[in-house]
Amino acid sequence: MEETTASTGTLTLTGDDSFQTQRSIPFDLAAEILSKLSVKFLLKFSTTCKSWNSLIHDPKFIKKHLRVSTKRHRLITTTCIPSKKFTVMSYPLHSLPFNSIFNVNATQYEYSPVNLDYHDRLVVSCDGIICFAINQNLAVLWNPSIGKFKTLPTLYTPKDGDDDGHTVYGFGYDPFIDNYKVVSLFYYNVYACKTEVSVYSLGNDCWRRIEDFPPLIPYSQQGVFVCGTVNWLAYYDLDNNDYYRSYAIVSLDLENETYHEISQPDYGGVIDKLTLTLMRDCLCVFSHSDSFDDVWIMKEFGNVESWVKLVRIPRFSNRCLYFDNTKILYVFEDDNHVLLLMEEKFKLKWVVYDSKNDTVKCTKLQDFCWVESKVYVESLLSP
Amino acid sequence: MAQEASSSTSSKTISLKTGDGEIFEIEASAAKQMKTVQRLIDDLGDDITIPLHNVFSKELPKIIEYYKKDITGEITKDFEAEFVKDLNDDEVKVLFLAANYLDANKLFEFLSQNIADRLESKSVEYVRKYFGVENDFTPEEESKLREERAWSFRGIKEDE
Repeated sequence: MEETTASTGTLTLTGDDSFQTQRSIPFDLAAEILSKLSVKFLLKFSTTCKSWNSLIHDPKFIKKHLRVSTKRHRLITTTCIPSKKFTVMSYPLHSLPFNSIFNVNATQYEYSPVNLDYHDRLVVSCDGIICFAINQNLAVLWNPSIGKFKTLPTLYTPKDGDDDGHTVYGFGYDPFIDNYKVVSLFYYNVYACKTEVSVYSLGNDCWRRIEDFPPLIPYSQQGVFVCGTVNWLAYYDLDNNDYYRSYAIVSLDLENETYHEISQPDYGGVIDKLTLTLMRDCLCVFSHSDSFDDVWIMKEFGNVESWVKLVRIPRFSNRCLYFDNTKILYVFEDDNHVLLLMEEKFKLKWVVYDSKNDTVKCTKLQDFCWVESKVYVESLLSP
Repeated sequence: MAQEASSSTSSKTISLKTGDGEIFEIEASAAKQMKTVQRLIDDLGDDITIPLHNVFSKELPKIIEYYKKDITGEITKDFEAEFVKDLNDDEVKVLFLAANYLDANKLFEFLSQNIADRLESKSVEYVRKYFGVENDFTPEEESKLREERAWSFRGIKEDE
């Protein structure tokens, strides 16, 4: 808070008792209040006067607003009924009774998918910007709150015979350049471990190729940005059968653009599958075994001692390992309640699991469709 | 010596004099949370009545009430909700400006969020009056902006 002892001293004494309430609020103090508004109201009140309107384009204010907004977690979901509808909604995750997540303060956004066949796949959201994977050569960035959209330049990918290959995208913040990046990991000819990794920085107009991925086979749906690195799961040997894969967490340092391995926690049992993601701005692993899923977060990135098991989710309701598409979406601040998306008998169930009491509550039920859901915060950032 | 100092600050009260001449007492540890007051104490000593020219008897007791709760660590969401429940928008504004003058950060942050929350149901015209800002857009500029931002005006029942 700045020293403004002078500014509030400019009272205009009108000679009546209520002069205090006629006081105006100086611009810098008004900015403090505005930084706490959600984007919708900020945009509405930016039509108040010119100086307020210029605030929303001011990088310092945008950062300040983001700092506040970052604490207000929301869930952004894309719902796709193939060849029919594509809907984008967001719901509040903060300060609510869990059973009203989908009923209170839901926001719908206008979005026309680029990929009309398979629809745009929601990869991740960072600081208010959503990254969609259109196909293996094209990604798109979008800020739903301000309605700004950016198509990335086409990513060139080599063809090797019949193998079209596959691109894994990641999007996040690079603290070394104070800017946002999209990193693409393209892999093809898996037996020969052929990969191409490229980086796109916001504001640039081209991809830049960097050192290839180490000789492992990528196994992630997204590259996870944490503390100036991008992280993927990968496994060593394709010849071994699926039951005994040896997973590694491969980490790309964004400053040096070199790779190294991140040590995993001791999962304490036989683990069949892993999922890598971001939670609470920490690297997060879900370890899936036949009787439970554990959520691990690396509280201090790079420090293997700092891995902590946040919560354990047992398999309930006929969930079985290999046909289980249950998605762990969010662990609430109480480290106890977990939001899950489950599929059951052609329905989608949004469920809150209480790990202390081992109870499950269904908060929303809908007919089956293709849904992607990620944690989201609002911002004024332009992609 | 150190023991003497700590016992003196924990039970010591500071006298604050408002702009309209009233005197209020506050515990030294609470006064510490208001950086302007602490600076004045550092300059003038803690035995003197500290003059606060820009804060008045209407709002100072409320501020003191807040920091009384703060030093005992009892500020909860419920307390904060109660604290502003019966205040109208202008009263909150006065408190907010006073918190700024006193450099009372916690209260300032809380009140700025509370004002932001109250603004959600207000019209642009109300906000102009409340903040004391002039509309310096031409009618054409303003209607163009409103059209661009039409979606942000939708769905809200504005009170005046």
